[in-house]
Amino acid sequence: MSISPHEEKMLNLQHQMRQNQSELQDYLAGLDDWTSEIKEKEKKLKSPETGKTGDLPPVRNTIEKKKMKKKKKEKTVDPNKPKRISGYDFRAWDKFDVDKALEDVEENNKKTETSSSEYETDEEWEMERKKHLAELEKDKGNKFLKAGDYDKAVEAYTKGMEFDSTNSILPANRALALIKQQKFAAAELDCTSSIVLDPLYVKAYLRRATARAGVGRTQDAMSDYHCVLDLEPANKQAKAELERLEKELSREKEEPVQSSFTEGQRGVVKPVYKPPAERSKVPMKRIEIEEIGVEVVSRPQRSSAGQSEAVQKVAAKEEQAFDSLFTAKPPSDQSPIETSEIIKPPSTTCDSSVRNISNGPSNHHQTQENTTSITVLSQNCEASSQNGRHSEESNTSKTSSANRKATTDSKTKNQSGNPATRDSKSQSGNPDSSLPVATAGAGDGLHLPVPQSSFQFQADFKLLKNKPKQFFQYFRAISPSQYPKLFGQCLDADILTAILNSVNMHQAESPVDVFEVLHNLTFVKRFTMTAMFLSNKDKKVIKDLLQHISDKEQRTSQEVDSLRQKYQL
Amino acid sequence: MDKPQIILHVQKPVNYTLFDAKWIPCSAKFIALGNYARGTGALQIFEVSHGDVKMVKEAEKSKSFKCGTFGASSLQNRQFATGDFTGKLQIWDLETLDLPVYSAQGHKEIINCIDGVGGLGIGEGAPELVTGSRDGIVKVWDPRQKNDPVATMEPGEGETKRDCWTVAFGDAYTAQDRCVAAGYDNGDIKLFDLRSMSLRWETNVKNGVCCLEFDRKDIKMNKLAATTLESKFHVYDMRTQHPTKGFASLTEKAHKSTVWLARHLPQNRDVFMTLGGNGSLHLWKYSYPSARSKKDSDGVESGVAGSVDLLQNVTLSTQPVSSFDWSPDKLGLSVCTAFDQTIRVIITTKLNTL
Repeated sequence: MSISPHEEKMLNLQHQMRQNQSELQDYLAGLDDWTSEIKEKEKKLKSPETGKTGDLPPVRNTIEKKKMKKKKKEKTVDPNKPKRISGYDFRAWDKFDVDKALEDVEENNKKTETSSSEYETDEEWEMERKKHLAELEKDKGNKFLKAGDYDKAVEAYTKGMEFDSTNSILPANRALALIKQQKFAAAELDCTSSIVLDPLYVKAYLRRATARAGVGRTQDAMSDYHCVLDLEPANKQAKAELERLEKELSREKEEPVQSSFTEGQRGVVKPVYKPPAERSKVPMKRIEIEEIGVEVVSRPQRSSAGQSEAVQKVAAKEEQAFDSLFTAKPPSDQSPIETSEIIKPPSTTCDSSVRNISNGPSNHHQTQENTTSITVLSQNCEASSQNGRHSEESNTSKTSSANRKATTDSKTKNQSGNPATRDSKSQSGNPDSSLPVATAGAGDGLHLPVPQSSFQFQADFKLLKNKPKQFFQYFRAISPSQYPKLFGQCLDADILTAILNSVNMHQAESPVDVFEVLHNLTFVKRFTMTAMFLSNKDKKVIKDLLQHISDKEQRTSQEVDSLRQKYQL
Repeated sequence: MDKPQIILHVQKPVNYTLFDAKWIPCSAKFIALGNYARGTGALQIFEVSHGDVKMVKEAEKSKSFKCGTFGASSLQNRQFATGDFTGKLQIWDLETLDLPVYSAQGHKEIINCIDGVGGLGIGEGAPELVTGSRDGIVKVWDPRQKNDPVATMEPGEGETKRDCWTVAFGDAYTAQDRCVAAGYDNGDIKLFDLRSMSLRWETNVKNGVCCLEFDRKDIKMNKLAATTLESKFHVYDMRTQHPTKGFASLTEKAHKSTVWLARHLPQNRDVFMTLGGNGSLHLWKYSYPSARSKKDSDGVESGVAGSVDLLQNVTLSTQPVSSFDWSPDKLGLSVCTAFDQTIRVIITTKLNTL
């Protein structure tokens, strides 16, 4: 019996379906077996014995390269490679362009990047890697240094030093950046560490000398220059500097205090350490720190994001007040004193509290003996001038509030780096304080008694600073012989310039013995120090005054000359 | 006559969008990744037993998961590496899902794809993960190194950053040799040689590359499947690289929509499944040519592509299939997720007779 093709196809299909079905059934049965089987296997897997941890290859790109075999060193000299300059070939070194060499090194590094990492052991490779990173940081630092971004340069060098503490160039370069920022003490330390690492590194000596000269240690600076000359007898810079310092030193013999920096130089105030037992028991007072000899009146820096909200609010307020101050101020009010271009709002409420404090100024002097750059000011005074409501509180609970205020003030002072902004702050305080306007107006006719103590003078000066005429009247009443006692420690550049200016401006109207004034001022303690920081403008005023003396007053030229010398003209 | 059958064994709806599913090695369990509508990440472990799937463990994390792999984990630890929507690379111990055992902010944007090698006894050399992200960067990670990738492949400055859609390891046949293939949305395929740290080969297939997979990770590069938008996929013969022409390839049309994925059968490297945007599954077999390479007139060798035959096709869903994973332990068993929020366990029969 034969079957048709159609039937055959049907049969095939049926057969296939049956086959598929059975296949699937088999599979499903197998699947069930498998699931239980795999469960057993999984359980075994979890037991610790099965876990064998073979030696895994190292992490890529970190240790992997360390295992590389050291290639045979190629002794053939690269013809493009410049010859090494001998350490004693000074003429060649003079022509040596460091920047270009650095760039060359960088390029070479790029070219030979792949071949530079064949080292035998892990440690060797790791060290090489870190050294390389340090080099990169150094290059970064050099770039910043060139661009004049010293902060970033210092940061880069610091990073570099972390990577490679044996590199003598990094600390030396950081020292250069620090010198540019006039951080001489830190620069000196860096130079010293660089010298320790490489006692033959001439630049480190040169920079240390600069740093030492910067802090007035002329002798040490000179010894460094001598070291340089020992290493490199032809070093021009060392010779020139040495000559200059010698000259200065000889001048210094006549005038005990001398420094190579008389202009734009900030005084360096070092902390005084005393064991707790010897420390003053007097409660902490707020101390105003003024930068002396600095002519810059700049806008306060914007508060950074890291500051607290309160501080930012204060800063914003200050900013506003500062702006209004600049726009509202009529130009005729400008005082002759540069550092205080902004007129300080009269705040007579401060008066009473100042008097309270002035009874015991000696306390301040004990604690703040050795700085002329610190102007001591009672916190009460500052508080009241800053904000009316503070004065009440501080009068009743002076000591308890002292600390707190000191901290808050120091916080706000971060934004008010110079006197101008501080003044603006007191201005901003006034509108919300309960000070009557009349009081403020009365300040113009202020007539203060002759001060009996240095502290009283300080307080009065604060008030009169921006009123040259009243200040002159006030100052004229002080007997010149009183100056040393009155100014005590506190004759800072600010006061001195104020005095000189006011005398210069007003001596025509009401005659005064200018010589006596100038002469007696020189007897004030630490006068030479202050005189050192006088600006060119101030010096011109002094010159005018001296001219006046030699013109109008009967003094011998010898006397005038000695005065000239004392004012370091 | 003896065509393999693709049969839906179990399906399981879930309440989140599924992006990836992977079998847990040496078990009848698989792990599903996705994101809940509220924007959180879903991680669920299911077990297949007696014609059903049961959820055995689940965890909800703050960030949506996009992709995961066991590729860099040892068989004993079976730690699961995931990439999430915020660019974080995390490795989870499946016993304690509270905190990841490794976490690194790998990319600035979503990690689209992840692959691993060196674990599970697959591939020589260090266990490594590779991630590709929307930020255009491909990073290679070693779970032993915290926070930082061991290699980064990114477009040079000034070049436009293309969305990296897929990455795949291959060529891991010695401890040193290893390649990463990366596919981008503009149709670029790049092959990075991790040994020499260089770009070994690149090409453009005109359409965005959805998936790249080597037929085996742990052998000398053999075949690379690349699926693209516009219903095309390519298979490259990776044995012979011509200095100018690169690798020989064949192109095949399939699915009448985007070809989302290609997955090679672990038990037979010449059989692979492609998955389409229309919810269909196509099973292919690759046949090698009589000679895999030929010498041209200059005596330079170039590869010869083979051909592919469609063995079986089936449509399981109306939505694109987002992931597919063959069980490494049981021939023919696979799990598949689709955008219809359903997990499907699929059985393919007669694979052993091919």
